[in-house]
Amino acid sequence: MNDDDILVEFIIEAREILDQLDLDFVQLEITPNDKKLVGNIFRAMHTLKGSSGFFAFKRLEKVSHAGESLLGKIRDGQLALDSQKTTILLSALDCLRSIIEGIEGSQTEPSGDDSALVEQLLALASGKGIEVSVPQTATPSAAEPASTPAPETQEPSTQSSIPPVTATTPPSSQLAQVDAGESTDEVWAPDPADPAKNQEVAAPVKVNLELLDRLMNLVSEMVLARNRLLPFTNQFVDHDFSSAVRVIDLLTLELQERMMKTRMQPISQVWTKFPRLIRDVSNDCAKKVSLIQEGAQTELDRTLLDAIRDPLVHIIRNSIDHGIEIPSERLNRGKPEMGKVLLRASHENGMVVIEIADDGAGVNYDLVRQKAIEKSLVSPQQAMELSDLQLLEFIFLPGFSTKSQVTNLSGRGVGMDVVKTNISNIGGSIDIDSKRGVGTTIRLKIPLTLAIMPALFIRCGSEPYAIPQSSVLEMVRLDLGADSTGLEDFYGTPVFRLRNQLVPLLFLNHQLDVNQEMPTSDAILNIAILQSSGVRFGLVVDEVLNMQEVVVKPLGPLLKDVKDFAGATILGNGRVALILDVDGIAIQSGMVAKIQSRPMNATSTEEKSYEEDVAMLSFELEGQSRLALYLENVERLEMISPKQVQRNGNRDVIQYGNDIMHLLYLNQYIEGAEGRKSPKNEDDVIPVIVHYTNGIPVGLVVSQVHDIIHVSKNLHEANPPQKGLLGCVSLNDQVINVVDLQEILMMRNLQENSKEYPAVIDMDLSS
Amino acid sequence: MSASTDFVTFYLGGHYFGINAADVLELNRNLEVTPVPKSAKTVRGIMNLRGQLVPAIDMYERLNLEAHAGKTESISIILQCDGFLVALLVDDVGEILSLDQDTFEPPPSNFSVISRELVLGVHKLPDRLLLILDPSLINQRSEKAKRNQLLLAH
Repeated sequence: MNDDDILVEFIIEAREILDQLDLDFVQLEITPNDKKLVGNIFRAMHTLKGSSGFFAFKRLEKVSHAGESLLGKIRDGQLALDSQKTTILLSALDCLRSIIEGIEGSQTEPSGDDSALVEQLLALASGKGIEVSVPQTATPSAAEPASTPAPETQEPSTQSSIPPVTATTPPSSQLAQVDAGESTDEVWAPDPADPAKNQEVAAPVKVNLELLDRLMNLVSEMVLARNRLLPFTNQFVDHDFSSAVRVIDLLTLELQERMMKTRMQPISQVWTKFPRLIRDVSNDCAKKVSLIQEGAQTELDRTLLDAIRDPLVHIIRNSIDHGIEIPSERLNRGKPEMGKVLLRASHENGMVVIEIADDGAGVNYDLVRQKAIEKSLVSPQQAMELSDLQLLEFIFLPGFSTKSQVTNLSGRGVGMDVVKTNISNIGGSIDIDSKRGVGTTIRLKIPLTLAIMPALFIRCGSEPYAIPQSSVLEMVRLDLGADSTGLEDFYGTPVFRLRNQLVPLLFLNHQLDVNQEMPTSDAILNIAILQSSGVRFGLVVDEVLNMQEVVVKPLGPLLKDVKDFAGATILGNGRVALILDVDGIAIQSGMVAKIQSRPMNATSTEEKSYEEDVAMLSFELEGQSRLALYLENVERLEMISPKQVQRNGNRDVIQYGNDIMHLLYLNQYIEGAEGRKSPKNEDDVIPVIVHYTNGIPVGLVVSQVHDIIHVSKNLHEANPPQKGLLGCVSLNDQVINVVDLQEILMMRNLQENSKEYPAVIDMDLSS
Repeated sequence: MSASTDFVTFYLGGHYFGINAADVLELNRNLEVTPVPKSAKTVRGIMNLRGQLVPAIDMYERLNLEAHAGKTESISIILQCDGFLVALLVDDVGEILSLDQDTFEPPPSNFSVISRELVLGVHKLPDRLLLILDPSLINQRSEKAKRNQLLLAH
C-alpha cells in the first residue's frame, strides 16, 4: 500500500466518521443524557484528529481538536449539551467535511481560516457562553459548572503518531456509507436507523464500482453466450452434453441474479443524510419537525439511489418550508406543535414506492390558482373551473412558485419541475396528493433497477430500434387507403385522427435521416403513439417487431451529442440496437414547440372527456360480439400460436417472458358465449389479453380484439345479474357488455381451489 | 536517450500507420457495426466488444483519405484512451515494430494528404515511411475537424 492508497483510505474513513457524526448529533439532541452516544462521538472525533495529525493536515487537526475538547467536557459531565453547542459542533462537522472534500480533490489540505470556529468551540469548552449568529441562541444551561479547566492543548502531539487504523473507530466504521469517493462502492450496510447499536459485525468488503459494472457486463455477455449455446442441445442427442449445458444454464441464471443483487443497496444510504437536513432546514424556518422513517431497508439499484437523492432533498425541503406551519400556527389549528415528515419506502409490483408525507397546511389551492392567472397560464374564468387535481399539475411547471419571496430554501421556482424531470429520466413517476390543512403526500414510483427495462422493438430502414415501453401509449395501424380522412396537414405538421383527437405524426426514417421516403397514398402505417414531456404524438415506423427486456448501456462520450438516442442495448445475437430517446426526438423535431404555440385539441374538451369517459378495450367471443373490458385491466395484447400452449396439470399455460402465464378461456365464464372452436390448423393465432393480477400474468383468451373505445362512465347494471358481466354501456347506439373481470377471476380461483380437494372434482368446467 | 517504443502497425488507404502499442487493447476481425444515424461522419457506428459498447471510427473519414482499392476495413484495433474504448476500422494490420527515437521526425510541412493534426510524426523505415498517430486526438472531434465537416457539408 503506497501513500496515495493510505490517503484514499483516510478520506473514505473520514467521510464515514462524519456521516455517522451527523446522525449521532441529531440523536444526541433528542437523548442528551445518552453517555454511550457522547462517548462514541468523542471517540470518532478523536480518531479523526489522530489521523489528520498523521497526515499533517493542520486545519483538520485544529478543528477536530477543538471539537474534541468540547465533547470531552460533555462526556465527562462537566458541560451539558444544548442547542447552541450542537449547532457549533455541527458547523465544525461541516468545516471538517469541506476540508476533507478539498483534500480529496487536490491531495493537499485547502487553505482557509477556521480560527473563529476554533475559538468558539474552545470558548464553549471552557464553559463561557458565546455570541454567534446561529439561528437558535439558547442560553447555556444553568447546570454548567462555573469554571472548567483549560483544554489540554498538548493532546495533538501525543496523538499524532496514531495511524488511521479502523480499530480506533469502534462505532462509526460500522456504518457503511457509500459516498467515499466516486469509485468506491459499499456492498454491505447495517441498519443505520439504529445508530446507537454497537454489536460487532464481520468487516464489510469494499468493492470498486467499476469492477462491479465490469462483472455485470461479463455476466450479461455470459447470459447471451448461454442463449446461443442452448439450441445445440436439441441438435445433438447426447445426454452428457445436454446435462452439461443444463448445469451451465442454471449457474448462469444464478450468477445473474446474484450479480444484480450486489448492485442493490438499501435506501437508508440516502436517508442517513436526512435527519441532519431536517434539523437544519427546520431551524432555518423556525419550525419544529420530526422525521419518521419506514422501510429504510428497501433496496434499490445503486445508480437509482444516486438519482433520487437530490429530488428527495428538494421534496423534504419543500415539505418543511411550504408545508409544515410554524409552531404557534399549528397550536392554533389544534395540531401538535411538532410537525411530522414521514418517509416511507416499499416494494410494489416490481417498483419501489417512496412516500414523503407531511402533516402541514397542504397546498394552498387558491394561491396556485391566483399564480396561474398571474402568469397567464389560464384565464381567470377557466381557473375557477379547474379542479384541485388540475391545479396540482401547475406545481410541476418550470418557473412556477407560490412563494412570493425568494429564500435560500425555496421560492425560486426551480424545483418541482426539475424533480419531475429527474424522476422521469430514471423511468419513474411522481404523484402529489394534498388536502387543505391536513398535509401533502408525494409518491415517487421508481423502477427497481435502471439497467433493465421493457422495450418495444421496431424497425426503421434495415435496423431494429428499441423504444422504452414507459413512453409507449398504444400501437395503431392506419390504412391510408381505407381510412377516409387519412393524413391531414395542421400548419405544416402531418396529423391523423385517433378517436376524434388530432395526433401529430413524426416519420422515424426522416427523423433519423435514414431515408426520405414518404408513404404512398394507400400505404398502411404502423404508428406508435408516444407520450413525451406532455406531448402525445405518433411515430411512424416501418415495422413493429417484439417486446423485450433490454439492458441499457450508455453510448459514451463520442456519441453523446446525438440527442435521438438514450443508449443502446445488446441483442441476443450479439448485435447492438439503439434505444430511442422519445423526449429527445420530440424536442429535436421542433414539434413540442409547435404544439405548445398552437394547441391542436382544445384542452377543455380533452379534459372533459377524461373526466366523464372511461377507456375500454372492445373484443368479441363466439356468440357475444360486443364485449368490453376496462382498459386499466389490460397490460398487453398478444397473439399466441396454439403450438405454444402447454398443459400444466389441468390448466393451459404458455411461457411468457420469464413467467408462466395461465390461459383463461373467457367464453367459459360469460353468459351467452358459445364454446370455443378449437383452432383449425396450427398456423392460426389466438388473441390473448394479458392481465396482471398480483404481479402474475393471466392470459384472457378471446376470439378477436377490436379497438379501444371511450364510453360514458355511466354503466347500466345488468338486471337480473348476468354471469361474468358487470353491465352494459352504449356506444353509437350499440350496446356493449362490460366484463366483470373480478368475478371471473374469483370464479376461476374457486374452481382451482376446489380442484385441490378431489371431493369436488365435478366443478371442472374446462373442456 | 534512445529508448525504443513498440508500435502496432496497420494499413489504411495504401498508407502505413503506427500507433503506440501501449494504447492498443486488442485486435478484432469482422465485428459487426451498428450504424448510429445522425452521428458525426467520423463515427461509423457502434459495436459490441464482450458486452461493452465501443464506437467504431471511420478512419478514412477521420484522416480525410480517398477511397482505396484495398479498402476492406475488416479489422478493428481497439484502443483504450482517456479511459474509454474506441475501435479503429483498418484494412490490414502489419507487424509490431520496436523503433528507436533516432528514426523519428516531426511530420514534414508539405504533408497535406492526411489531417496533420492526428500525425505525431514519422518514422523513416528503410523501405517506407511509418506515420505515427496520436491516439488521444482520435477520440475527440477537434475544432478543426468540425470546421472541415461544416465546409464539406456546404
